[in-house]
This record gives sequence, structure tokens and C-alpha cells, in this order.
Amino acid sequence: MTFIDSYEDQLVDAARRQRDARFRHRARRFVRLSFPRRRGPAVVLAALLIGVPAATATVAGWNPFDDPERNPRLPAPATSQRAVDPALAATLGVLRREQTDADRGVATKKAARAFSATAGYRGAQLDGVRLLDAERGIVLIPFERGPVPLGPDGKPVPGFDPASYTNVACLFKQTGDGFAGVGCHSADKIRGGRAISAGSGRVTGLVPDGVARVRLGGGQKVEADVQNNLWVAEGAGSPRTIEWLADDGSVVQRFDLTAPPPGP
Amino acid sequence: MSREDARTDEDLLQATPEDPEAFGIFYRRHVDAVLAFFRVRTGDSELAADLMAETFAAALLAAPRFKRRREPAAAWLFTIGRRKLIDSWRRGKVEDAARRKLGLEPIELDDGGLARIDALVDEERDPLPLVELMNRLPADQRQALRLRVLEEREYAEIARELECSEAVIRQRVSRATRTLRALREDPPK
Repeated sequence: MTFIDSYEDQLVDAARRQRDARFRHRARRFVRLSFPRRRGPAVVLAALLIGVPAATATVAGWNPFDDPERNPRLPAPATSQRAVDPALAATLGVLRREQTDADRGVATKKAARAFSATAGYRGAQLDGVRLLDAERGIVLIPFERGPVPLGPDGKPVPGFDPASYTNVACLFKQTGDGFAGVGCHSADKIRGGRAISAGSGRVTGLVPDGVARVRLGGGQKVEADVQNNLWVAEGAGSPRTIEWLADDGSVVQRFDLTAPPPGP
Repeated sequence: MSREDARTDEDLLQATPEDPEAFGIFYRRHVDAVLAFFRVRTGDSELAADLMAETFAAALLAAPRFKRRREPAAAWLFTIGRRKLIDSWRRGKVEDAARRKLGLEPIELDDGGLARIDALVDEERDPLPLVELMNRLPADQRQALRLRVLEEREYAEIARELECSEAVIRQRVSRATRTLRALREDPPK
């Protein structure tokens, strides 16, 4: 392959970045035009958050985005000194435990290379970084704002609620040599049973404290254990229902995922 | 017939904003012609590669604004290329604004690629590159020819710039063209 051939790859990559940037611009415009009334509560929320004391530093100077091996063309998202959203911390016990060396390990460093500010991630809360599944390499990073979910037409997906992408727990999974985003979930979404991502024969989800196991319904019933508020069902497709089970096997709550999500 | 073959150049450019691969196909179709265009005019394969890279980067940036007109998309591309070439003569270097805007890395030239560029030029038909032939013209003719043919400026505008009559400019361009033709048909040894 000569430089003439490899330059084609560079151009196509650049064209992708251009397209993605246009999508994000349209999404931001859509949010501004479609949800003007939400600005009021957002300002109040921002004021409240400013009042929240800064989180205690995890390890001085530790920042997985400060990485010489990071692709210089992918600008790192800004980090935030604010504490993790209280509603998220109240929902996910894993966020209330102390951060460990494993949380700050290689998996997190690699996961941090997988996304950039240009994808729409803002305000990474490093105190909340947790390695949820060491075997599969699944890392949770809380963000003040996650990327707006866009459809193939570049517009936010139908039923998109801007509140659902603020103060989110974002999951990243290892894929071969790299990492990929699995999904970003707000506390409301987690408590509503809809913090689920499906793809490549695997379904992943977050559940609140007190759920020991989940049972997925759809074409076939699949069960998965919960560890660190995370469950992973291998060989499963998108479920139509999900049941939360307690330690004793009793059903705590059942969700019909084919029904429209509850309104804000 | 593959999807690549089925789409016209105009289709590919118009699809580029939503389908980045389309620009890759457009590039593959025209890269050799663009390289040959620059190689003949500069006589330098490395310079030709640099100009080619900037031309396609500028074309990618402009693709969302591309509109079907009477001239084919290839002509649109070569218009961009010609402007880049003129800019490089004016500035004494190839600009890289489009590549920087897109975050493209500098291309790393290799022998295989340079040999491919050299092979694009028919040495029998192009014994000397245009720029070298132009350097053999008297200065006043060379200047008039550059402004009129390469920069596509109006005679009246050139006359104002060079502070002489339009007829004089026409005469210089005509003489330069005749001299160039003679040099190409019977190159100096």
C-alpha cells in the first residue's frame, strides 16, 4: 500500500468525522428548538449542582484521559470536579464504595481512549470511575452529559428526552484491542428498568441496589446474575420484558419494554 | 455491476455528507488524473503528491455545497486543483489549510507512490513539464501567460496590473503560446 492508497483511508475517516460533527450540531439545534421550557429547570439544577461540594480527589493527578498513547485527533472530554449525581449514587451502590486501584487500572485507561469530546461527552467524573466486570472489561464512567442518541437520519431518536442524557452512568466494554461505548443511563432510566443495551449477541444493563438477578423475556428466557449493579446476558437478543429478582428468587419488579417509557 | 460503478461522480459527491465511503470511491476514480495534472505542471512528484492531498481535502470540505451544474464533477475537482496550484506559485509553498481543518496527518511519501506518479506521466508526450518550459520564456511573456492561462484572469485586468494596453498583453500571450508549442514539438537538447 502506498501513501496514495492510505490517503484514501484518511479522507474517509475525515468524512466520517465531518458527518458526525454535523449530526451533533443538528442534535444540539433540535434540543434548543424543541425543549426551550426545560432551560428553566436546567438552570435551577445547575445552580443546585454548583452548591454541591466538590468530590474528594481519588488519587491526586490521576486522569485516564491524560494519556500519551491517546489518538491526538480525538480530543479528551473535559473532566469535572463535581461529585457524582446524588440520584445516581443513591441508585448504584457501586458508586458509593471506595475507588480501588483496579478501577484506575489498564481497562479504564483503554476505555478512556475510546471516546472523545467530539462525540458529545462532557464532564467526566473521575471519582465515580468503576471497573464493573474485570473479565469482560466493562468500565463505568459517570458524565455530567452523555452523547445525544441519534438515529440514522442524524436526528435524535424518537422519544428522546434531553434529561435522559444529563448525569449519566456510561458503560464501556472491551472489543478486541479497543473499547466501545455500551450506553449511558440516567438514574431515572436505571430505576425504570430501561438501562439496557443489546448488541453482538450480548445484552448488558444496570440495575439499582437490591436486585440480585434479572430474567429477560422475549424469544427465549435468559437469566443473568447482577454484580456491581451490572448484569450481562450472553447469547441473548433485545428483550421484550425484564424481571428484577431478589436474592430469594422472588420477583421485585417487572417491566414491559415494548410499552412506551413513562413520561417525564 | 458494483455499487461503485453504478454511481456517477455527481452522485458520489452529493452522497458524501451522509456516506463517507462515497468520497473514497470518488478519490479512487480521480486520484491518478489529479496526480498526473500536478506532475506535468510542476515536474516534481513530491510536490504533485502534496497538491493532490490538499486538493482532495479541500474537495471534501466543499462536498456538502456541491451542486449539479452543466460541467461534470471532475471539472469541479480540477478547478479546485488549479486554484491550489496557482496559490502554491504565489506563496512559494503548498498550503495545507484544508488538511489542517480536517485534522489530516501529513502524508508520508514512499518510493512506490512516487514511482506510481512518475509512471502517470508519458515522458514521450511530455518531454519537459510545463513549468520548466515556461521558465524558458522571456519574463514579460511568462508573466502574461501565467496570469491569463493559469490564473484565468481577464486581459483588461492583467493590463491594469502590468500597466500596459490590453493589446500588448494579447500579443505577449500569443507569442508565449507559440513559443511553448515550438518548445514542446522540438525540445532543446
